[in-house]
Amino acid sequence: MRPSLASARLALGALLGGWLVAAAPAQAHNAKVHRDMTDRAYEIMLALSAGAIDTSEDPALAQLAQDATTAIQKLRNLPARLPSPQQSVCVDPATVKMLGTNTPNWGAPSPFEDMTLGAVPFPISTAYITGVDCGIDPSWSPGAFFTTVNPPGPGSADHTGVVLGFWAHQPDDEVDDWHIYFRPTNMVGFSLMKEYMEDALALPAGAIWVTLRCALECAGSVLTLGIVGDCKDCIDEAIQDSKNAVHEGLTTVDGLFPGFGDHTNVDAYTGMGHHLNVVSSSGEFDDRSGLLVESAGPNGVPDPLEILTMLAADTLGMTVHHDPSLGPKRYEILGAQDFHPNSVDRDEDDWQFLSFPHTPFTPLDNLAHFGWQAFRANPQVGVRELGWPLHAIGDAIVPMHVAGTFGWGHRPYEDAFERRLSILLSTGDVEAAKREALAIAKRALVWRKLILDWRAQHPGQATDIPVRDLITQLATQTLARVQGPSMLVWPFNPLMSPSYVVPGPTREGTITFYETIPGSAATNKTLLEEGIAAEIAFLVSAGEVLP
Amino acid sequence: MNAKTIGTLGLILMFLAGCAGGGTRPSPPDRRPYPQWIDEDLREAARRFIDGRLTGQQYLALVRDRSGKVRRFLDDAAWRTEVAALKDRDGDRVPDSRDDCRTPLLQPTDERGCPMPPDCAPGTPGCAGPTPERDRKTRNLLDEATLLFDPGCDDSPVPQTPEPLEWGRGDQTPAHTTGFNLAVTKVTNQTPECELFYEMEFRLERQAPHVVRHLTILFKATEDLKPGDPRRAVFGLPLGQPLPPARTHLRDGLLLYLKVQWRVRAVNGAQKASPWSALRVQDDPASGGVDG
Repeated sequence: MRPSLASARLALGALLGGWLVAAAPAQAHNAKVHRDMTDRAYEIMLALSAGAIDTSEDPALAQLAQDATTAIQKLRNLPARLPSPQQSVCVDPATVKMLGTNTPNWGAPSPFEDMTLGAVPFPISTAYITGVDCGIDPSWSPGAFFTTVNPPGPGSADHTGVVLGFWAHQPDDEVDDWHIYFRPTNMVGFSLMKEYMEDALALPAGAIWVTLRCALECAGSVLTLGIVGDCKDCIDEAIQDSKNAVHEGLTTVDGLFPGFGDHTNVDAYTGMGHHLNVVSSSGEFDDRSGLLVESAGPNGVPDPLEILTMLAADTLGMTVHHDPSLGPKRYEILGAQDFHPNSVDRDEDDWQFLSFPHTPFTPLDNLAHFGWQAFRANPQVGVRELGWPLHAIGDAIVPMHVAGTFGWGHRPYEDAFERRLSILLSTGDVEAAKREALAIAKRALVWRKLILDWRAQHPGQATDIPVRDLITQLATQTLARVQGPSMLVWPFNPLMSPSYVVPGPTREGTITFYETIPGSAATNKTLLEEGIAAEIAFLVSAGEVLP
Repeated sequence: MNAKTIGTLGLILMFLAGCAGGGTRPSPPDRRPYPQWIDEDLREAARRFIDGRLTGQQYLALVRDRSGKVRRFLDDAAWRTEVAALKDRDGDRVPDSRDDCRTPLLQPTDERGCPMPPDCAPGTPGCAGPTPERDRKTRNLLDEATLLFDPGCDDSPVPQTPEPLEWGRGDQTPAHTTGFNLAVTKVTNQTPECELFYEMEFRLERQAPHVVRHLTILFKATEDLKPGDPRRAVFGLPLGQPLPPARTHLRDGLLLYLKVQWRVRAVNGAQKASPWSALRVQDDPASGGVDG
């Protein structure tokens, strides 16, 4: 049992920190969206390669089909880098039904991680690593039209796209990218608060719900006054409520403010490096800034959720903790050979002087570059890192990611997007999917040309990809597609995120709003197709790095 | 402050100073006086916004002013030298050697230390900044947003990601009831004393008239109808019993709606949350039933 004094340093550490990332889930497309985007890109490559998409009238498209064929062969031979599944026996009835057994035979070499992408026999689930089952998604299908090219079935289908899509989500699970530090003077108040609750709880009593106001009031007062007055009242009330109240949902603050816990070592804010603010014309440390909470959003004014985050972070003195954070080391880009402006190098003080809402985070295009460079340096072990640029492409089609905001409707927008994903992808409509595949392939030519033109201008880098240029252009297009007189209603809406974080009908209403608002479906579909097109161009070009 | 509090505070301060810490405690960031002043300003401004003495627009203006001054501090060696004298009588964070004005506390200034005129008056239509309505929303959130505290979870990791398995009708053996049961994969990586929750989101849809409902419900792990099953956790919605509103709506919805999507995540009492599972589509109750 940990001594109570030691628990002081756990204190509120986690209480208020990471509203930001929603964390992983809080601010990035949900895992399935990243996976299915990448998988669709790969399925279109397969369709091009198999001649299922008519390229006869467009030589450029025919060339793309030929290049896709080459890339597919090379990608399929890459080690998938998957660990063994969490369980060898499946418990999901749907999985067992699909497989005809509860003990799937992966036919994997030893070590498991050496299994190539083309040899992965099952469509892996988005929870392959974090879940508690055998890691197979029984609901996966390449979708209408594509089943003719890549018929689903254990051992027969090509799951390269599924695995690449799985890795495309991985940056959302990089918990060590950003750590947040609580200044010691600020932790004392929470330590006292926690101790008071421990004493009062008469363990074991389970969890208690503390309002944010209570936490902040206590943080501001107990150092001088002790647990008295409003602070004592609100804690006592919370303890009483924990015994009586019915809680039907959890406030979605876990991604933004962690609970009481060892914040520095456990909780992380992965999504803070997943923004590229193309609303502002320049950044302080990069040519375009990433997330800077104090000026987030489409007009540079944070929404109520973001202001709340500033209040908490300023009250508690929450700064980036430079030492254990990988983000500053990974995503400051120095000495790159991609002819894109480098980052201004920041030292520990630069990162830690101000609380994190006043600290500019590294931008999304830098994240893409990091992964691309790692893959390029050693493709045989780098397929996981290939997920970084793919992830960045997925995030760059989200309006909130390109306006540098985790508020303004960010999460309900992404939740609604996932719920509409099968419709946006025309999963059930063969003719529509075929028509759209052709249109997406044509759009991919534009991105492919960007890459080939860049290579022509820089002959020394004949197989490189200017991923920072690509991400920046895609993000700029995304913003242009949603800008207009009504953009502060959709997609940017200052009242949606604060309503979303509170469980109940108002949260549900925010998702419904984004699902049903007229006109949004067409724009979302365009954004999605542009992202898939960029991924096709990227994957085809990435294959050219491989021998 | 009572004796116990003083004693505890002393111990905590000793601990934080390194007297009682383990080898892994990180070093605190360098806190020179100037950034500390800024921290104090930002903290005080936050307090004033919370209790209504500052509007959101005033708060943001001060935030930007102070963060701009810290950047000046970092970038401008002359400014740093003058700040090192630690003379700033009016507390506007412009060193006295450059300060032409005496400014009230917590007001933005220009680089000569004189008050900045506001870009526009708070609440003016077209004025870029939080409106009074948004300020109210922010303050309401302080009461609506809750944080979890459970000392039993100090040693528990982030929970594994549970996944929806199936929903259907069945017995609820421990309670001797029947109803709808929701089966998910069981999270097994928490310590026994740590309270664990399964949060589920449902999207229910029907046609004619077209209606979509989103529902969130929360189960404690202790409500698991199959506590002895190592792989599945099952949670019940008994028929014919009064239930809390969200559970009632879900039970009714499973009877009436034709399309059902759901997902689940696990959150422990220290507010460590798993990622959400992917959405599972299951339109009809499991044909074989789901017993709990």
